[in-house]
Amino acid sequence: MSFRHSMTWLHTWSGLVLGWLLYFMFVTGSTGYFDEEILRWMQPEIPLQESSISASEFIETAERRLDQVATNATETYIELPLGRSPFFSIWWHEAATPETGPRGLWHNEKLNPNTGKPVITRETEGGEFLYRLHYALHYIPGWLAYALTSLAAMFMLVAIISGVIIHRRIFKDFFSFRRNKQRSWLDLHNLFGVLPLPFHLMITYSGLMLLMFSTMLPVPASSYGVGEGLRAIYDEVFTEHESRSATGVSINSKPTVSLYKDALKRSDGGLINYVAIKHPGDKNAVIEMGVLADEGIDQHKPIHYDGVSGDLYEPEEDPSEHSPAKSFYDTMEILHEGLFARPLLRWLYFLSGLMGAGMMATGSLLWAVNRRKKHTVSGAGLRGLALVDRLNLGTILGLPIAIAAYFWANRLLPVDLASRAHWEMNSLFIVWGLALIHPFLRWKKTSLKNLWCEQLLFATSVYALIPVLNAATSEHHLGKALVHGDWVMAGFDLSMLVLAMCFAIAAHKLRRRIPILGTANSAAGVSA
Amino acid sequence: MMISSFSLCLLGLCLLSLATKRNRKNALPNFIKLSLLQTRALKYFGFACLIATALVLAGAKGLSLGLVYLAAWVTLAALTQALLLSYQPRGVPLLLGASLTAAVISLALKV
Amino acid sequence: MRRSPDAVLSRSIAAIVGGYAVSNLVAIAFAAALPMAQAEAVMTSMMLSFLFYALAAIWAFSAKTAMLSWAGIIVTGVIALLIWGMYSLAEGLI
Repeated sequence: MSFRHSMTWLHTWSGLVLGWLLYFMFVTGSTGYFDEEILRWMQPEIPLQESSISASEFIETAERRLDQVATNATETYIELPLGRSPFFSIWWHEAATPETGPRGLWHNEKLNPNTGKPVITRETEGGEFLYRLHYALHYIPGWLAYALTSLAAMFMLVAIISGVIIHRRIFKDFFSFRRNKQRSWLDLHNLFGVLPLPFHLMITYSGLMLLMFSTMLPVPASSYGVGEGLRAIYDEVFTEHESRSATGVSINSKPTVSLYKDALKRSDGGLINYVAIKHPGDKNAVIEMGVLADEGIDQHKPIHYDGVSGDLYEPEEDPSEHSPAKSFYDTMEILHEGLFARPLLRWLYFLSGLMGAGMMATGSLLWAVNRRKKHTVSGAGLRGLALVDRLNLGTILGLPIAIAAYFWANRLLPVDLASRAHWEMNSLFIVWGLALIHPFLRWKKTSLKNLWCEQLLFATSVYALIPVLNAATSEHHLGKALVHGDWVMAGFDLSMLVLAMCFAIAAHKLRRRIPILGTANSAAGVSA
Repeated sequence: MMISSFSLCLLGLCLLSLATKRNRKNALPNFIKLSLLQTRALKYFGFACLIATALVLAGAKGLSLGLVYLAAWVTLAALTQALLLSYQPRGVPLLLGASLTAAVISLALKV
Repeated sequence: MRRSPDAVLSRSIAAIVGGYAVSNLVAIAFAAALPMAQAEAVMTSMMLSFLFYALAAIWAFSAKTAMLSWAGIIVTGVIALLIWGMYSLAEGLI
């Protein structure tokens, strides 16, 4: 068998076997680029931000609240609603005690900037749940999820490499990618695979790297053993280097607002977006002000001050900054998570992720279509194909429907429900289960094409009604958000409408196609 | 330099796509048969535009960020080409003219 | 659908299980052999290990026969082990 043939075979099968898992990972992972925005929508208690409040006022308000609640904190953190973050919040760290555990406990409150009081937000995992799904899955132990998602990523890496080998003349093929007169799933599959190829390669390899300490344990274990030695290198790589530790001598820290103006001067035109104090109230307190970088993979260095005197302080350099391997790892992490990206680039990341999802979906559909052609010639083995057809539908459309259900649950579940966050998460999987069962239940009654139309129409409605849901269950609504320039809230509702439109267009196009074999219970319908 | 780099990228991909015989057949009203030299010239100019895009981006945003933007721009421009070639192939020469104009103007204005 | 390569199951096991084993072994050898600080070498090798895994999988399916695909993987693994052993001996660790 020629090399090219074996690579073609490998490409098909490595993509197919874990195609649904990869589809899941691409869809949920892509939502992660907007996890904070999603969280904001899912906590409608957070009031509209008044743009007239200055940064110093924010800092003073936050410090007043911290004085009330964070009296013995070992570290405090004030997050200002600038740049990407729509949140005004405070964090404080409680020291390790028998109750809080060996690493202590972090507390968090979102504050109302007008009153200085904490906003009581509903219990929710927000957008971070969707994002974590893509590598940690759900309901299964962490190590197993990391192994499965890494295996899927490895299959994809092999598919990319074999795909490039098959498409050696990548540019030529790309520019004449319409293989026949008819547009086909293969064309779309090629489009979704080739266009964002740099993204796919980067996201796959960096994704594997981010889980490597869980998946490639034998390697560090060979040098450090398992147990203490291994934990040592893990801590060295991942723990922040403490340049000054607490002395236990109490001295009041300088109020940070007084240093704010100085920090602004030193920031080269960047805005200050966070204020962190390590060891507040201690002789060795350090005040750190984060500079919101305009953009860039090399993030701006934060500005440090001595907490007692207010003098500028240069912390010792983290030894890992001189480590090329660690720097490369950090760069890959930043690239994977798009942490450096401004809105335009972040939307492009999201689009590329969706194209990745589209690539997996069209791949699965393409496989089913080709199989169907073969079987209608030979007439054998339709049962397995029928299974794949139904699972394709339930996964490709079922997952987006399930994600919409997660948003619906956020608004419909009672605020004081016990384990509310868990039930929101369960809702996603319950509805996904229903979407998977639907084609099985209605298999004998109607054609595959109609089943697709049913789910497409359902998806259209469930997304289109989300802005209505928003207006009905909160004091925010699209009109108000647009008028006040609340782009996070408006952006969410608008995106839901755009998604609804996409499903509607798909339903419309599907309806107009003439099915090849249109009988009720044949595994037919969606034409090539 | 966002507009100028994107226009250059778009221009480059238009030139590259027109270098293929099949695309020319669909895109141009009268199928113009080009000599080998002319086809090669189209390809070289196309790639030159892409290289120019890379240089403009690297100059504006630094090397690492420039590369990221290059990948993003090529993806977007290639998507535009693919859609045009599928649904409205006659649009490609128009896009070529538009992107050429846009590139010249935006480079002059340093936008 | 194209013809499938011979011995799909055998090659798949070679690719998935054998590939994992050999990518770890080669990475371990790299970690021992790379002329840089220990932690550096370990991190670099871990990051490279995925490339080794992918190459092993491609080898498993492009080798002329299933036997050959296993042989390639096993031989590479053994060589990696020997290299690791050599470096460990040199450092007096074994």
